[in-house]
Amino acid sequence: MTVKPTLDDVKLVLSYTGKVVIGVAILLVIPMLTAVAAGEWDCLVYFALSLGISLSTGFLLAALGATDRKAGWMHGMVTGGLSWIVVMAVAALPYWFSGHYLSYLDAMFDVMSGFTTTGLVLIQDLDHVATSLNMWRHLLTFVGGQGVIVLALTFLVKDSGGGYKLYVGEGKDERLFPSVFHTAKAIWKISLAYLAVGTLALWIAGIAIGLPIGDAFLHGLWVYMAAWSTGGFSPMTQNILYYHSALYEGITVVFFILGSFNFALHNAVWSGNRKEIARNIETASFATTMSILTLVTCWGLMKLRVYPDLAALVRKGFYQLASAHTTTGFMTVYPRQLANEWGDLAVLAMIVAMLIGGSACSTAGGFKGLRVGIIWKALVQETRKLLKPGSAVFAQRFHYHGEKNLSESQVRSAALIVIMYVAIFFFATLAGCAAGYPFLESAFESASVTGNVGFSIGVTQAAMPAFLKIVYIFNMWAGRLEFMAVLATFAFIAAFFRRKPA
Amino acid sequence: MNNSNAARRCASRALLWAVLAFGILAAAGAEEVGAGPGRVGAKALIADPRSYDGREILFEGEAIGDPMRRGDHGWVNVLDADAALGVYAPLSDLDAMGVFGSSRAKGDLVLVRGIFHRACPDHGGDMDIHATSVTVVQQGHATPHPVDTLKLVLVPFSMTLAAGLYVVWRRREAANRKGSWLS
Repeated sequence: MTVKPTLDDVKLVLSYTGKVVIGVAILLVIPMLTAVAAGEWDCLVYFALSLGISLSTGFLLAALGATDRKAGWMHGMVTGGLSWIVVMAVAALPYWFSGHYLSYLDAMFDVMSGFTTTGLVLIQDLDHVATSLNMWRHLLTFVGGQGVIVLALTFLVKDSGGGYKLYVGEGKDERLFPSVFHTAKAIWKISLAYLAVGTLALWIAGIAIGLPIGDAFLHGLWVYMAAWSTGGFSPMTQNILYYHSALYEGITVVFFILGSFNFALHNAVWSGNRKEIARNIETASFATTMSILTLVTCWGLMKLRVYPDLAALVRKGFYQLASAHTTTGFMTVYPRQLANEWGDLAVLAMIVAMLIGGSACSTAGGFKGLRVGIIWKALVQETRKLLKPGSAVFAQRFHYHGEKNLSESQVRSAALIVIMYVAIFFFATLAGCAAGYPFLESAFESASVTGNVGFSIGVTQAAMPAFLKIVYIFNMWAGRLEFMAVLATFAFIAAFFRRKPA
Repeated sequence: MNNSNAARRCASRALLWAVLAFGILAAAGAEEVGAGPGRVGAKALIADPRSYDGREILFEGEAIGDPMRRGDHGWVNVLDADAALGVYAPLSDLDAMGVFGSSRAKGDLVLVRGIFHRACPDHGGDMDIHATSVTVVQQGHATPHPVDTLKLVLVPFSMTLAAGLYVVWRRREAANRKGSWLS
């Protein structure tokens, strides 16, 4: 039996959602300053109008929901789900005003793709997009990587108990510190420190490969933001292929792999516990699946003689696979090359990599290396049980920020999430096939949206049917929030509108 | 009668020979044209790269982004109606281009003549064109971006609305705090 939400429950959810919208609206100041610096007065006007509308929406929701109640789990989860939808609609305003989109749905698709760090785009004429709009695109993906609720928690939400519930509602559950506010601040501290290092590295590399100093800085900043948040956006349509540089590719690999690691792991290493890298179940799981899938990809490419030599094969094969596994979506090949040249084996390896994804509590998507590790440990335990006498009792242990015993509830929870990922993966694959795309291409694109990756095999285009865009938006949203917040949102809405039994 | 038949046969033979000769000449001419590089679009190159691999092609499009100079050669990315391709060209060709496509400009329209590589062995397997010549077909130009007057007028309205709603929100929060303190 579910409890019918009261008006006060709705008000509390609206209040928190309003605060998240206000947080995102304030971010519009950054592209506005960029527009002033670049002399893009037309852009400044549409960013200012977007700011006015966004703030009005945020203040209205916060005013409608003003209440002195404290948030429970239901409110945290529903706010997690709902705020991402409202923020998607609001953050799409500058996209729509820019005239680079064929419909408002396309603009919302790109916002959801940015916030969920997916990286697929429906934007038109990307190579002629204004500097300030590019700043907004990359800022969305950078903030989305840490989480829009983490942003609001850092500045706008003061209720610590409710704060943790909101934090979990966004698909994160690691507490780096006992206080959720300190955790949110630590996440930003880690990300901003890497932002300085990553931008500097890519800026220097950009100058070295021939970009002018100013453009080298902007490209460095944007590509870093997209790499760290495993977002995959780029200022040019050719994505990373635009730079024609092994150096640039190498630096992005370092930062998107770092971005796919758990914030708790970063925090442990920063605190001097470097051994955690080697012992952690997630890094072990990532290293294992990454190695196996790289071999499979390279074998598939070698069989078809796609590349002329080993150096080119490894450079292309490893880069795309690492980008897929960390759910980044940076590409150094054209989407149709994957469909026409790479062959089924390499494409299948990419699909598996995209579904697995990076680490829990990171900027990455997918069903996460932690769950793969837990399910693997459970399989080993079950197999060992079969080979031992029935009376034998033993515990399966794993290392995850300390030695832990594998419990049945952990295995059940991991399996449940994996099953749900696979279910929506099949759902979007089916939708792709229904829209007339071949099975393997539908499956590839579906894995990409479900795992918040951003690789495209050519399906994602402005010309694709509207229903497929909506299915992809749903999968990006559900995949990013890891289902609980999405299920809670639907249940909350259904229960609120349910008629009272007579 | 016989004379007129003979004349007709003679005329038809002459016509046949003329048609044959024209056909042979036309075929020879066509072969001559076909021997040169054909103009290919990015869509065809990406869709069927093996057919063009190692062949000389003509590729026309807009020079976009920044030219990237590396040693005595450099890269420029050229965008046609469907996609952009990397062109590796001598610096003299890069220097001939004046305007590169960006948010504020339409870049030079260039005609690239060069060897297409499906997976270039010199450049880590990139799909690219090694240019033998790059010709500017049409000069690029700045693109106007006028301010939208309607949006400009709406900005103060939206900001005033936001300020009003902010006051309402703070008042309602203050009232709630007071209410909860009293209770």
